[in-house]
Amino acid sequence: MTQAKNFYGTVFTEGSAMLMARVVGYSGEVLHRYELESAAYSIYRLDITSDDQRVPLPGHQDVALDLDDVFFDSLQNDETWTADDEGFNFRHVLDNMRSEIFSLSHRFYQVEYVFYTRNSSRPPIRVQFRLFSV
Amino acid sequence: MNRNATFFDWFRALLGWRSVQNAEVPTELRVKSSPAGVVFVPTAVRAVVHS
Repeated sequence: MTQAKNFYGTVFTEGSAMLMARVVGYSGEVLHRYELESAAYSIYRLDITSDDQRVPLPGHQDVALDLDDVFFDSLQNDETWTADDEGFNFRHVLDNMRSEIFSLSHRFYQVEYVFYTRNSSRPPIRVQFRLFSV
Repeated sequence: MNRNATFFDWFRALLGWRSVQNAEVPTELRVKSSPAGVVFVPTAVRAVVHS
């Protein structure tokens, strides 16, 4: 049973990060690449005092993802996946070399992914990470 | 619960010896005590962050 939650992690200030996940769809089964129409991500810097106050990071709003680069048709498993033995179907690298991301230290950054499935009658699937910069 | 119920009746009801009759339970409470629903959100079941 999955319910809405943020996945927490720690990143270096002005560093890069690789985010991995096992995403499931409305059937509760692992989502496959061929079921997806498109995907996008956005990053926000959260206010120190209030989660409701967030600053959209320029250049990181509704950025379309190349699904072939980030989503798999079957579960993958290697040394980088430390959550369990089942594996992951999504992997995305946030590269600070290309665009400044975690520029301030000791802040929370929220990375939101939205996956649109080919079944247009279903709402998009959301995955959220909350990253703390050190 | 019956107004004439004694303390012993209440005690037995608490221990489950005697179930409280539905007719004596306010409708609102009966609704609230119905079996819990299921919340399913399609999202990630597990995730890993590498930095």
